[in-house]
Amino acid sequence: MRIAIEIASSVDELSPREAAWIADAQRELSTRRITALFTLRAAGADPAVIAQVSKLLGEATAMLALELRRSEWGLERQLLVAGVRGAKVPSRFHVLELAEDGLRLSPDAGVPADADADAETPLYIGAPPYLQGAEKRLYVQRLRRHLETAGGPGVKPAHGRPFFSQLLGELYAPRTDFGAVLVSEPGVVRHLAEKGLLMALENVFPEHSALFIDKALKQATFFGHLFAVPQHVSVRVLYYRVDLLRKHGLSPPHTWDEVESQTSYVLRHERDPELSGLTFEYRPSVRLGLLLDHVWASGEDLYAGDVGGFSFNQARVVEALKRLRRFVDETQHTRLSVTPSEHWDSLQRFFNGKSLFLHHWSDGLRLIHERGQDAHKRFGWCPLPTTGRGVQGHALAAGVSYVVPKNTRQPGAERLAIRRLADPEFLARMEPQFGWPFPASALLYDDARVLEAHPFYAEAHELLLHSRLLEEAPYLAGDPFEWTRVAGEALGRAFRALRTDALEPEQIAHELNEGLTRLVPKPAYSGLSARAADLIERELHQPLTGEILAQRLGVSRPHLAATFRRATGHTLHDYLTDRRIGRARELLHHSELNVGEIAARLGYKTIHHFSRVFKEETGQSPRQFRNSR
Amino acid sequence: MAARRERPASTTVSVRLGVPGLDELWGGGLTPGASVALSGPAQSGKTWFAVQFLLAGAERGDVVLYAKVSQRKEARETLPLAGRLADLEKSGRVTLHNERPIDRSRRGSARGSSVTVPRCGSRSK
Repeated sequence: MRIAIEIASSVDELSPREAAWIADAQRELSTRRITALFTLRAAGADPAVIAQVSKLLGEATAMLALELRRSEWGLERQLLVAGVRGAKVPSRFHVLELAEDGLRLSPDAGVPADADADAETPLYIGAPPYLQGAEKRLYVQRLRRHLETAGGPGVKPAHGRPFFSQLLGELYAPRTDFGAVLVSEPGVVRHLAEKGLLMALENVFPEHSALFIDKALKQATFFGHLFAVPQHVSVRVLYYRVDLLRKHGLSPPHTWDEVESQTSYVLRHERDPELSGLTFEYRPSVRLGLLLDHVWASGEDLYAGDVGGFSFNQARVVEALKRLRRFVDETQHTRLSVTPSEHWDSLQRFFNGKSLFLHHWSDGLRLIHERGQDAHKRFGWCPLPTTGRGVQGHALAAGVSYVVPKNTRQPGAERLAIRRLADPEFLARMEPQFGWPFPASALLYDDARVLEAHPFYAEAHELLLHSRLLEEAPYLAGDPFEWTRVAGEALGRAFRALRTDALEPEQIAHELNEGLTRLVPKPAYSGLSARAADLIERELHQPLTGEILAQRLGVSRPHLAATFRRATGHTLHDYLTDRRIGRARELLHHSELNVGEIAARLGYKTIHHFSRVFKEETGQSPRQFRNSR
Repeated sequence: MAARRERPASTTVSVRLGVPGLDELWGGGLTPGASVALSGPAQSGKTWFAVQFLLAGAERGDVVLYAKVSQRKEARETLPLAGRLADLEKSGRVTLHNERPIDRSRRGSARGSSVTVPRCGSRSK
């Protein structure tokens, strides 16, 4: 027999009574020859903590301490084996990896020690945050070899560096050695680009910039510039048990109603008591996405956008919450996953045959393909269902992108490096293990070698047609982490309420609205003036005049001019000029477009006209302004 | 960590911790009746460790018990590998136990108090 006793209190905070209880427990278990594990909360693995624990559990056979440590590979779990009674074990830290089936000691693959020996000026390349331990090392090793083969002046790749969020400070430093860095979501890219921290990249991909900007990668372009090279994407899909649906004469569902009815039907007729209907997870980071998947199933949005602002789509949210409640409460057919580890747990549950449907990220597709033909007979996948046939719904897409810090020491080398990251030969070798290409890759990376290496990409792109990035939503403005936090908290209460039946969906929707509406950008003005301001903001690159604006808004020019001045205190001409010069400052500051290109992008017919207006407004010529940045 | 009690001298490998790679560090495992102290900050993997420790026992036929001494009651679904634990719990090989918090207001020894070591021998294999 064995027992694990977890003590939630911190070692520092234990009262004498609690300490005595723990010591007694240890003695009693030892007397009964029951093998026991005691876990205690402690700040770290320093000698003082080990001494405290040792004093508390003096008879322990093994003394172990976990610590979260920053290393060149990111935040790592490390285990200190401080001592084992009766065995000669050196006291040292070991790296622990957390895989889908639990913790294990890292095989310590490591990178060759001499790898950085020749690096005069290291160029740090980020590794994807979704890769851990050995996989991350392998990724970095391949990336380094690829960059070394590519050569080129100034390219001295060092080793992979951790996920971007740990390195935000680097972006604010006067200079950084960081090159291509991965960020987790397009929303983060936009947030950083707004702050002027990222290098514009369209000049790195001149032959592809039209594709990037005008067609597929709107998600990576902000303020008319490309700031990120997308690297990986995952889309929400519905997985289903092919064998069970076929056995009962059912087709893959097109609508959520069909998911419900098929779930009821199959579970009524299957004898397996462990089979559940629909498995989905609702960690804080995916809660908003989960709700949106159901709102978007109707072809509508979370907020109804109009020029004067955004209004919460209460009816659709209530409908989506009711559907989720039916899954959770009435059918008793749903299994909700709740912990961070559940990303793998829910996948495992489905692939172990314990669930009829799984609402999950498309990462799982790889598992089907890796398991071969037999898996195809048991497991299938399709785009997320909608609320009715003929309705075009969307699934949430997310992905990581490479960005280049603007304060980098080696802009030339980093441009070359990031260009190599999009190299088809590299992608063909890297992506079997490391994820999908981004939606646009079908266009940008349309290369026979890539498609030959990954034939299922063709199927994957079908899904991407039904996907939407959260960041495409116009109401999602400002700090993306704030949105995730607020939505996560509000929906956390909502889902708990769904399970306990404590709140009606209408109340939950109201609460969610209260939380999210605070983050929705407020229009500066209302009515006709707001519509004019919005039009100016969206079409700043056009040669707009008062006459054109009035025509577009369907009113007379004098009426528009008078209304606008009354509401804002500015004339249309002054406001237009102010916004153009503001945008020009951003472009001069954040981009590498030349002055002529900037003038053209702001609707000025000649560079001279633009320069004159700019100088009148700022006291400096555009070139002086840029040089003084 | 001074030795206060005689331990069996045997080095027989009989109790594995369930974390691949760890037992091999000191020759393969622990003897029955051994106790392991594991400390660490939040999110460092203590619960993962505990669950793996129990699953390793359950998979070799041991009856195992998980007890959390906490001020708040936590849903068992939040445990790592909750699916596997639930399967084993149904088969009677795992017991999940919510222990009451230790009364911090009372002075004196815990011996004989209402808070005791969770009953370990109540289930047979």
